[in-house]
Amino acid sequence: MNDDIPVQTSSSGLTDPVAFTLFMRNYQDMVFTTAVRLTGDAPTAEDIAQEVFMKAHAHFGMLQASPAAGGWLKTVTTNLALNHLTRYRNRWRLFSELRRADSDGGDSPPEAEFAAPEELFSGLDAAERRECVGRALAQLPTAQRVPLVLYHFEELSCDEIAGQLGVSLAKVKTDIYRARAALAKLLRRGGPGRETFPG
Amino acid sequence: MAPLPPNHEKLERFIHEVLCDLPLRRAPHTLERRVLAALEQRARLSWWRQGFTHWPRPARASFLVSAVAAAGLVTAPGWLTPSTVIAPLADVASHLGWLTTARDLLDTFAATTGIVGQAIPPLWLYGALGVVAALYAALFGLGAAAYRTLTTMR
Repeated sequence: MNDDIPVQTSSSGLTDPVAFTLFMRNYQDMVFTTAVRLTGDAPTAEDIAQEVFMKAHAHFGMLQASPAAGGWLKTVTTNLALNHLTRYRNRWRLFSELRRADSDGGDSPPEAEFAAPEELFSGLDAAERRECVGRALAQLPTAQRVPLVLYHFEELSCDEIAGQLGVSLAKVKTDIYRARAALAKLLRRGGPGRETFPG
Repeated sequence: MAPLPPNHEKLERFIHEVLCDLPLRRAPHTLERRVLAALEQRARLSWWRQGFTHWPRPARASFLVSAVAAAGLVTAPGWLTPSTVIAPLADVASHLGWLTTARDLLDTFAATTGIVGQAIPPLWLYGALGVVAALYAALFGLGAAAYRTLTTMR
C-alpha cells in the first residue's frame, strides 16, 4: 500500500478525510487488482477503482466499521468493470466481432496442452513466475478472461457467471475451458516440459 | 451435470493453482490523489450540478411538480375535449380578425399540400424511399470498411 504518501488531512468535502484515506489504502490494491484482472488494462482499471471509491465515499458511514466492506468493494468493482466491458462490447461488437467470429473455430473445446507446473516454471523464481502468469492472463481475449477471472478469483459458479454476463451456461463453460487451455498454451511457450490433454 | 473428464479436471486444478498464486497488484500512486481530488471537486459543485439525490428537498419537490405539469401539457391534446378548448378559443378568435385570416391561410396550405401529395405517383415515392435506403446502406458499409481497414493497419 502507498505508505510513502502522507495521509491527506485537508477538508476535501469529506466528513473524516483521514479515516477515508486510510480506508482507501487498506483496499485500493484489492480493488485495483480486481478491476485490472477483469479489464486487462491498467488505466481503465484505475478509472474504475476511482469510481468505486467515489461510491464508497457516499456510503462511508455504513462501510467504515463494517466487516463486509471488502466484499462490498469487490462486488461494486466487479459490476463496474463488467458494465464497462459490456458498454465497450456493445459499441464495437458489430465491427470487431465479425472478424473474430471467422477465426473462432467450432463449439468443441480445443485440445489442451500444458506442462506440469514444476517443469513449466523451472529456472524461474517466484516473482518471474508470477509476472509470466500475469502477462499471460492479460493476453487472453476479453471473452475468455472475464469468465476465467470470475470463476477462479471471484469464485462464482458457472450459473452465476452466466447470469452476470447474460450468456448461456454452455457458453460460459466453453469459454472458461478455452481460457484455461489458452492460458496453459501461453505459459507453455516459456517452459520445457509438456503434456497433451485432448478435450 | 456431467462430471468433467479427468484431463479437464487436471487442467482446472493446474490453472487454479497458478492463478491463486498471483499476488495483488499494487494500485498506482496516482489513485489516491485522483479520488481525493474528485471528491473535493464534487464537494465544490453546486447542488443542481450534482445527482438528483443530492438536491435539497424543496428543489426536488419543485422539480417533480414541474415535471408533472410539463407531462400534463404534453399529453393535453389526448385528454382535453374540443368543448373545453375550442369553444373558448373560438370566442377569443372572434375578437381577433387576423387569427381568422391566419387560419384560412393554413387551411389553403394544407389543402395544396394534400393535392400535390396525391398527384405524385406511388411508384415515385417507393423509388425515393429505395434510394434513401440504398444510400444509407452504402454509407454504413463504407463506415464498416473504413473501420476494419483502420483497425487492421494498427
